[in-house]
Amino acid sequence: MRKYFQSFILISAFWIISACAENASWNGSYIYEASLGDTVGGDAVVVTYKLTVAPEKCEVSIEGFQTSESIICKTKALDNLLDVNFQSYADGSTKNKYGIAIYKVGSSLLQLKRSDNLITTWGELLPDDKLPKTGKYFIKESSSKKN
Amino acid sequence: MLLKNSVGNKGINHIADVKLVQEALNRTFRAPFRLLDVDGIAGSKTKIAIANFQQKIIGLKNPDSLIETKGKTWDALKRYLVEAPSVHIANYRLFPVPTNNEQSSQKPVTSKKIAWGNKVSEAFKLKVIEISSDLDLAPDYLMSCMAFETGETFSATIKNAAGSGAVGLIQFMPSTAKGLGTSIEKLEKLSSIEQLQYVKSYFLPQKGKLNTLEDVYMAILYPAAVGKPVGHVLFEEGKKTYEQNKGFDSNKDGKITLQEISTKVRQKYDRGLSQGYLG
Repeated sequence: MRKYFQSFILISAFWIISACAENASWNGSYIYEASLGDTVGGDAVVVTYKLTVAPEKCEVSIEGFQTSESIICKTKALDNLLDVNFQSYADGSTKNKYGIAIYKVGSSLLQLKRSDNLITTWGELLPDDKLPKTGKYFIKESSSKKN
Repeated sequence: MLLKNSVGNKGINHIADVKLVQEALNRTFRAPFRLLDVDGIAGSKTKIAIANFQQKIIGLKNPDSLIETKGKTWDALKRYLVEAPSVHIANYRLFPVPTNNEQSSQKPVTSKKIAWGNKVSEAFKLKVIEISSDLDLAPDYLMSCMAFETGETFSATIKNAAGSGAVGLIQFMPSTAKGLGTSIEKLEKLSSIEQLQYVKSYFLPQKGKLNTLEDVYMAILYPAAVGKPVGHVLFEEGKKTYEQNKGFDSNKDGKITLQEISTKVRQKYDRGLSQGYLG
């Protein structure tokens, strides 16, 4: 019985360490500047998405045309995949500033996949229905650009 | 529109009165002269603007920066609330100096006209005045931004042919419509007057921060910049935001300031206050 218990502890510890290592390998800032066309008046509709992953932190800030919001997210890393899921807005609310619940807690905002390139598969955060759901969107910011 | 109490140096300075004076004073300025914040605070800039108006436009030798309800300064300034001046000198718009007969025949000013008011229906205009009051912002600013965003049509259905998907009075994006609990398809089925309710909903979280023309415009173009000074750098070379707006970098320094990108909206403001547009 004791042997089983020791094995269980060891396997659990190994699993936790592996998961942490997988998560840590994703630490950094990822940027995507969405260029979504023009308005009638001639405004360029550009929206910048910035995903920040750090130990005990996941945040998506979205700034640009008609947009200024910060989302607290939760990540789940597995091999070369990173799932980014909605937790709340920066103020802790699950409703936006207009009082509308756009995302469900735990719903997928986006997923990143490492291959030759960094591939994004959009979830609920898809900037525009006309964009392909999967493609090269986010790029990792070099460490020299970090604040 | 009546001034209820005195405004300026040693004035009573009720917020609504100060805002009315600030709106009227702004109508005396021409680009690139900076507009006053319409914030209801009789600060130093407002007092200086009153003194300049007294000195340069009315010709007072000893300006006191005070506007009294039955005084000469208000008598001259209130005219800007209902008429568009035809004379432009330096950074000011002026009315020709009235003769004594003209002064006595001046109509009483009971309600103000607004920028672009002559290009929309009376019902639309009244709704804009109502929501501007609810949002604590100058209707001239809101009208100028909507004139810019709609290509001067004030249409609830107008879309850019190039296809951003944006529609209507402030060019609602699909994501904005979703955030407001509606959709582009529903918004474009509304009349312009009905769509104004969504314009109000859109600006409501920024209520109290929309004191300048630039603030109102930034609330649409780049909400994070609301409240920033006009020298604030919005977009820098190397980013897509800069490349897409490169034409606004008037001094070619690789930086686009809030003032540079707001030039086009200021032009709409000036146009909206001119003859044939003020109404």
